[in-house]
Amino acid sequence: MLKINFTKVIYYLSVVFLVVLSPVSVFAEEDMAEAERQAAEKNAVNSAATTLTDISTMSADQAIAEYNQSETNDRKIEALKQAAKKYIESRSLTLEALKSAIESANIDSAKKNELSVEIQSRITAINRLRDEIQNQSEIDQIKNRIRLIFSENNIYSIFAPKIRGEVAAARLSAIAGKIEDLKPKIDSLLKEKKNTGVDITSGESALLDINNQLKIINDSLRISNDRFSAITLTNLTAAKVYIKDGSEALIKAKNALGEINEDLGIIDSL
Amino acid sequence: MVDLYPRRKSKKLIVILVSAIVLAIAFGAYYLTRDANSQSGVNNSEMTSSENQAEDQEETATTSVDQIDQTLKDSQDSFSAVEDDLKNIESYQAENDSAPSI
Repeated sequence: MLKINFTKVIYYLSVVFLVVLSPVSVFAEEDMAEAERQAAEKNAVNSAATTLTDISTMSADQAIAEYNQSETNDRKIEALKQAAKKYIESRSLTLEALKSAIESANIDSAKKNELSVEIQSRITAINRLRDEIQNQSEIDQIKNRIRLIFSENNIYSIFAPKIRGEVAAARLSAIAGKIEDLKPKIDSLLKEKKNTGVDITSGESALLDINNQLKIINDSLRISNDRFSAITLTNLTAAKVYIKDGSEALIKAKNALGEINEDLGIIDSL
Repeated sequence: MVDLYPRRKSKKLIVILVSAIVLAIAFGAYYLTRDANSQSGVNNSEMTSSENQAEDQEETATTSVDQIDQTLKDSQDSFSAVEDDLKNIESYQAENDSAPSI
């Protein structure tokens, strides 16, 4: 009678399993690794192809990254030009928006013209840089001109805040002038109301407050005009201080105008 | 000489006298009416002047109220516009305006 030794059977089966199946699993793992490697290579190729074809649609930051990674001069130049194009594009849009805001602003026409001319000359300056960069073929020349977009113009950090500050001051000055002209009329209106028996106590207080607030506006405008006119485009440190001081003076003048609006509302309701 | 037609002469005189009286009455009536009219005109003009003065005052008051309304509206618009300007100053400065490392 055949006597089965189960321990031995299990042992032999384990040996067979190890000998036959283990290499299979090793080969399978190798296949998978190879497939992954091939896929990675394929992705890398695709990615490189995308970078090359998409350079003209890159953002400024992407183009600068591309410049830093690229190994050939042609690609570096192309990337720098693309970055410059984007830097100038966004600044031109800001300047055009600023120009439109000034055209529709309710300010003195001489000031309007002065600011429009200033903006136009800045637009011309950066457009000239754009053309110079696009026509250059030397990397160093391109790099120098890209630096000028920032150091000579400072559109976001100095120029646009300066112009906006001046517009705000001009707006406040114009409305303060109108309110000043209105004061005698308010005075005679209050007298007429008094003659008809209306209690004008609150109106008189409001008119008094208008006088005080107008003084605050005029004093603040003197400070802001002084600060904004002292700004130069090439001194960033000083410009930051002037913009801060000028803005604070504008906030003070704006708050005084808010008080005047309340006073006018009181007089209006009498 | 003997007047052959004394009644005719007296008739003529009567006609002349009556005409003169009628004319005098007509002129008198005319002048009286004219004076009355001119007096009434003066009164009318006096009334118009005081009415005009009242109207002028009312108009001035309305104009002042309209101007206050308009100035208040302009002032509120300026307030909002200045607020926008100040926000824009902040947002410009938040933009990265440093030259890239190249």
